[in-house]
Amino acid sequence: MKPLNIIVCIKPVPDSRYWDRLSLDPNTKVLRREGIPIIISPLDKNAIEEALRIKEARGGKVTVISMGPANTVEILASAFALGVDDAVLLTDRAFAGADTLATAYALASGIKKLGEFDLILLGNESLDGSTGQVGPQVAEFLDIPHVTNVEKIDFIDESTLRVRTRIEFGYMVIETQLPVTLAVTREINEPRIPSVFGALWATEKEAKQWSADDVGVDKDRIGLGGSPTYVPEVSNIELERRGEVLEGEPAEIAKQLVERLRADGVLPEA
Amino acid sequence: MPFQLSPAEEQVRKMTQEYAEREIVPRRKELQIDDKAIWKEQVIKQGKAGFHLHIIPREEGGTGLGFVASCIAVEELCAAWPDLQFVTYYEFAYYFVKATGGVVEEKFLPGIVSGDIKASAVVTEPVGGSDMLGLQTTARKVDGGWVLNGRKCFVEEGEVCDFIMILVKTGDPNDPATPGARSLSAFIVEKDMPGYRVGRLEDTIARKEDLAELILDNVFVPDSHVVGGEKGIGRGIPPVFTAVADIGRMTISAMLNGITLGSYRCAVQYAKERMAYGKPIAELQAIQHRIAEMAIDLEATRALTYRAAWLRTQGVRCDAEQAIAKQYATQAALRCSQHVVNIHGAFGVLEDYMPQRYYRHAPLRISAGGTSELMKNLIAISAIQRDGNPDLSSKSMDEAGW
Repeated sequence: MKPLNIIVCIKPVPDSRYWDRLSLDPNTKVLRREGIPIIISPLDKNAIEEALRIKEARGGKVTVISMGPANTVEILASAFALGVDDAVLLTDRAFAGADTLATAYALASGIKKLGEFDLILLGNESLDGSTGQVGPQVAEFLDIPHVTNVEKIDFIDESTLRVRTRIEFGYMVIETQLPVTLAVTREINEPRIPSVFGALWATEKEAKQWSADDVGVDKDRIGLGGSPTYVPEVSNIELERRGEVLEGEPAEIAKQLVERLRADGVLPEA
Repeated sequence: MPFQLSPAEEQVRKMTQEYAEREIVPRRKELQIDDKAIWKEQVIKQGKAGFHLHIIPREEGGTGLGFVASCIAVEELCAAWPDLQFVTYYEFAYYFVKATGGVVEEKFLPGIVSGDIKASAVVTEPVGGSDMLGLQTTARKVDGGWVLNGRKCFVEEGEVCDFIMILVKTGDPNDPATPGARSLSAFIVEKDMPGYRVGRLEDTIARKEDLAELILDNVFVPDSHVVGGEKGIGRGIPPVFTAVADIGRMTISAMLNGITLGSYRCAVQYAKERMAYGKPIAELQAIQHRIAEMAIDLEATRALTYRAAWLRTQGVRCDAEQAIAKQYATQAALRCSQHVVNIHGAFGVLEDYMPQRYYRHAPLRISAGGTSELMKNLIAISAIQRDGNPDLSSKSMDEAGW
């Protein structure tokens, strides 16, 4: 079978272990991320894993692409540690403040510059934004089909894939041709723990860094200016605990408790 | 002086953390109740993961990153669970086959690089370990090899090792032909050699069936298995000393640093979460001071261990620095594991919490790789007889001198 050129789009997100340090900027309405370590968005790691498995099964090349400030190279190093062959970072002040549409346009432009590809993989949604829009948008910009919520990928011949996608109350099996964009869920695989040689790959391989000019994008369609999304308001949700004491005999208390839990929808109706 | 880890060493920490967070941390409850299944699984998985490859040069199939990387990996594994690391035994295996060469190296090296073959250094007997001239296990010359008889004890992971390097008497220290240390030789004994068997497994304060007794009952060992080859007879101490210092003491220091690191992380997290007097206890000065003392210990013990490891990676002999690292790491781990128990109050001694785990494991390393007294002897020899390293040159105490 023909070796495949696989592209994986990965997003830098704040490490969830440090989310207690995150805050919202009331003026710009974006997350304040300064000083918080970044990681590969978890589902994007599943996408890398799937790409590596496909490559190991039939040969080819795995290239990751990301967009973000210069420190995003840290997650590209993590991708190298996992075993990807090549990495590209779209980094330029002009890309900053992008919504999903501007992000997808930039990523699609970067992918076009990379040349021929067979398969694009990415996480179904990111850990921080969770919109799930970038995958389909990238596919539209590249004019190729896309499938979301993918939890299984099988090749039935050289260029035909059978993918299983999760829907409400079940799943759907879809056949599709390469090239295609697949947005994967955590059920698809268990990402590998990097090999000890990953420490060498992460530090000896270097990611390409491309500016907006390098990619040749239309500058009106990237960054904050190219983003039609407008966030009118953000607010912190304050959660407070409320204590309530139920009184009576133990059996009576238990009965009251069950009724209260039913009323609050925690337990199903009797 | 560049006090920083290389990017590759930083990656080693990140990657080992990820390994520990996925493989070990979620199974702490199981480890608390019965660790046998995980032990069997991890001895294989850690070999396959290849943490020991850091001390093996790239041209032989390792990463070649050196002893600092190895110490970082062991430290992170032991922060997750204080003695669930097998890096030492794969590293030992590599050292032993390199010291022996010939058919032993040919037979085992590929399996060591692939993470299948592990070994242990076997010196201590029921009568003692540091007093090497008092050892009672003997080897008698026969045609084509040697016949070994005796009993060794307190061997960590002795029951799972594929082979051992054992120090035995091949002569009488009072005989002018084999004076003193020349009466000792080291041999490679494979686990399936007839007459070799694992005896009693001793329970320790940290683990059931933790330390193995090894019994040698007329074990025939071919000449090819003499460590150091033909010239190895009567020269058993250098390879054993080197392995015990480079691998034993370095990984034991790293294990202890793992206890210090784990205690520190655990203490900081708990102090920030635990509320008393309407605020996190981290805001209480008494708690802050304990945490500050832990931070000092962690910084100091890492600095000492990493410097010894760095010296060794440069090919510098550094018995004293390794002994200093081990001695300080022991004291730091004992102190910090007690701090974390204190900070946790009664939770500190509950089996479902980590502090008691660190606290129980720290004493296990007091005598492993040599007691504190032996460490001080070694340090004093370098300081007094070899004039130490008063100017902190890039050499070690052994090699710098006044």
